[in-house]
Amino acid sequence: MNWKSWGISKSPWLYHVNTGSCNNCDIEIVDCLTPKFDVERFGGKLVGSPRHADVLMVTGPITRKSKPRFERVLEAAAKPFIVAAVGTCACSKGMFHDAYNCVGPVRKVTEAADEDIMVLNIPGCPPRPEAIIDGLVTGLDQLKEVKL
Amino acid sequence: MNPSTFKEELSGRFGWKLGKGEQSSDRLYLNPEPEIFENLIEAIFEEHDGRLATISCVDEEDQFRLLYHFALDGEGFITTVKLPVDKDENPSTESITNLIPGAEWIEREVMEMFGIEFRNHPAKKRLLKAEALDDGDFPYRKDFDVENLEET
Amino acid sequence: MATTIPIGPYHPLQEEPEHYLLTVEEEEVIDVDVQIGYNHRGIEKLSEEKTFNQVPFLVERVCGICSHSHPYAYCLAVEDCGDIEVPERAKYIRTLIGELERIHSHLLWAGLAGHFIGYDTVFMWAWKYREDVLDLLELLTGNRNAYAMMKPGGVQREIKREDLEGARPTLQTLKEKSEMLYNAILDDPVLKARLEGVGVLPEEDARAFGALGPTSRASGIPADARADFPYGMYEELDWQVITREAGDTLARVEVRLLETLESIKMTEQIIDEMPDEGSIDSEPENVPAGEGIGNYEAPRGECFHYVQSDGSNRPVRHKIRAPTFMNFPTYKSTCVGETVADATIILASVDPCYSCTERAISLKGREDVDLLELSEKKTADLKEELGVNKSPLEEVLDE
Ligand code: SF4
Repeated sequence: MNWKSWGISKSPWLYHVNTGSCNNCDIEIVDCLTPKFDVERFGGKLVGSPRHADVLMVTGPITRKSKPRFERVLEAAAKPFIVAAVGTCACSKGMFHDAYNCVGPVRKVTEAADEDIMVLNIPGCPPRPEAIIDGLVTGLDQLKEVKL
Repeated sequence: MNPSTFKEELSGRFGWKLGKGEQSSDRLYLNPEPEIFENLIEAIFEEHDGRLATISCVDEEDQFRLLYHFALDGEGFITTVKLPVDKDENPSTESITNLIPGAEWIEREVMEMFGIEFRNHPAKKRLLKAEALDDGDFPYRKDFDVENLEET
Repeated sequence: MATTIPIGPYHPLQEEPEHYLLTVEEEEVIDVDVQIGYNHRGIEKLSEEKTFNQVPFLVERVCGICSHSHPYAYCLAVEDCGDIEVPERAKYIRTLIGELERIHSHLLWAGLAGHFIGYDTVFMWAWKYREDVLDLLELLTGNRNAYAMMKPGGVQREIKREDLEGARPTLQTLKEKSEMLYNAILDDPVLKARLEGVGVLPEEDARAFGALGPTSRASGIPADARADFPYGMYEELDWQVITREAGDTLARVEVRLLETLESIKMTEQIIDEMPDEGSIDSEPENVPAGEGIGNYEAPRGECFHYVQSDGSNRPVRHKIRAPTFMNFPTYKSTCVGETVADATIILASVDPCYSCTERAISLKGREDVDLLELSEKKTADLKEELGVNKSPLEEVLDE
C-alpha cells in the first residue's frame, strides 16, 4: 500500500454515472444512502462532480450515446480513482449482450481509455444494497495490497 | 358505445372507404383508404375524445405499416387505425402534430428508427439515436445490419 | 437578454442522463429543449430475438422502478393476441404485486420531490418507509426489485397464505406512515407556498399531449386503465380513481399520496379475498398469428405494449411505450413562464423516472427529544396560528 491507495480506501467519495441502466441499480445505490443502509457510516459519500470522486459507481451496459460522455467523465475524474461496475449490465452487459446499441461492458471501455484503471465488479441484477456495500468494502480492503 | 356501434357510426360517415377490420369486445382495427385517413383521425380525436396512445410502426416485407392506437378511455376500448407507407427511397407520410401535439415525440422516434419522414413535422431532430450512427442507419428496420455495426 | 443554461447529461441532480437546455430571460424560463436517448438500449429490437416466454424478463429491465408494469402490459398484449385465459388466483397475485409496486414507486417519488425542492427530511422519511414495502416484496416474491413473477397465461410462483398474513402488520404501519407523510406534506405552509399554483397543466393541454396517470388525473381527467380497461382483479375490489382539478404541482403530489393509500387499501382486500387453492398458470401452448394490445396502469401512467405474432415462438414486432414518453413533453406547457428554481420540481413532478444521487443528510435526533414529536408540535402550532383544525387527510375523507 502506498499513500494514494491508503487515502482512497479510507473515505471513498462516490460519483454515480448512469450509462444506460434500467434505473434499478441506481435506486439501489441511492438506497445505500438512506437511513436503513446509510453508507456514510463507512465514510462513503455521494459527490456532485467527478473531480471530487475517488470511486466512480458506473451502472448500465454503456449505450452508444452515453459512451463519449462516459469517456469524458473518465478524463475529468481526479486520478487516481477506481471504477466500480455496479450490476450485471455494467460487469458483462448481461441481458443486453446482443443489443445493437450497447457497446460495453465497462471494463472494455475503461481499458480502451486507460489500461491502468482498476475496475471493481459488483454483479447482481440489481445487487442489493448490502451487496453494494459489501462489494465496496471488500474492494477497498484489497486496495491495501496495491500501489496506485 | 362498443367497437361495433362505433364502427357503424364511422362507416355511416365514411362509407366503404373505412375498409375492413377486425374487432373484438375491446379492440377495433381499421384499415381505411389513405385519402380519408386524416378526417378519420380528426373524428376520433376531437369528437370521441380518443387519446393517442402511441404509433407503432411495423416493417413488413414490401411496405411499412403505421398503427395509430387511440384509447377511448370513457368507453373502454382501443381503436387502431392502420396506414400503409410505401417502402421506396424516401418513405414519407403526413405528420399529425398540428392536430395532436402529443404526437411530436412519437413521430420523431419513428422517423429516426424506421426512416419514415413525417412531412410538416415541426422538429425533425434526433431524439434517441446516437450521434455515432449515420443518418441513413435505421436500427429498427428488419434489414438493419447489427453484426457489422462499428463499435464507435 | 436570453441565456441558455445546459443541464446534464451527467448532473448531480439527475439519476439518469438527460440533457436539458433551459433558455432563460433573467429568472424566467422562456424555452426548454431536451435531449434524451442516453438510456436507449434497443429493447424493442432485442425482443424480436427472444421467445414469448423470455420477453417478460427482458421487459422487466426496461425500467427498474416499474419492473412489474412492463411485463404485465406485455403479458396482457400476448393474452389479447392469443385469447389466453388467466386463472383467478394468478390475477390476484398479479394485482397484489402491482399495487405494492405502486406504493413503493409513489413513496420513492415523494422522497425525490422533497429532495428537489431542498427538503431532505421528506426524502429520508419517504425512503425509509419505502424500505418496508421492499421488504414485503422480498417476502412475497423473493426479490426487492425485478420480481420475475409474470409469464403469459399466469404467474411464475405461488404466494403462500402464511406470507400473506405476515404482510398485514407491515401494511398497517405503512398506512399510518403514509397518512403521516400526507399530513406532513400538505400541512406544511412552506411546501404549499412552493408547490401551489406552480407548473399548472390545464386540462385541454393534458388532453392534447396525451398525458397519462397521476399527471393527467391531477388535471381533472379521470382516466385510469385500471378502471377503464379492467384487467386483473380491479373490478372486484373496492377503490376509487383519485382526481384533482387544480393541475398544479401540489395536485400531482396529492394524487400520488392518496393513491398510495388506495393501494394499501386494495392490498389488504386482496389478502382477505385471495383463494388459497387453485392453479396459477394456464400454460398456453403457443401464441397464434395475430396482434394484441396490452395497456396497464403503471405508477406513472398507462404503459402500452403492442405485440404482433406470425405463429412462430417469437414476436415479429413488439412496440413498447412507457408513460413518461407521453408525460414528459408536457413541460412545454408547464415550464415556460416559470422561474428557474421551479423548473426542476416541475420537470420532476411528472415523475420522469429519474432520481437523485446527490446529497444525503443523516438526521440524528438528540436522545432526549423525539424529532417526530418536535415536528408534529411545530405543525400543530402553525395550524393554530392559521386557524385550521382538521388535518388535510381528514378533510379529504370527509368529502
Ligand atoms: S444490472 Fe439489472 S438492475 Fe442493474 S441496470 Fe442492468 S438490468 Fe438494471
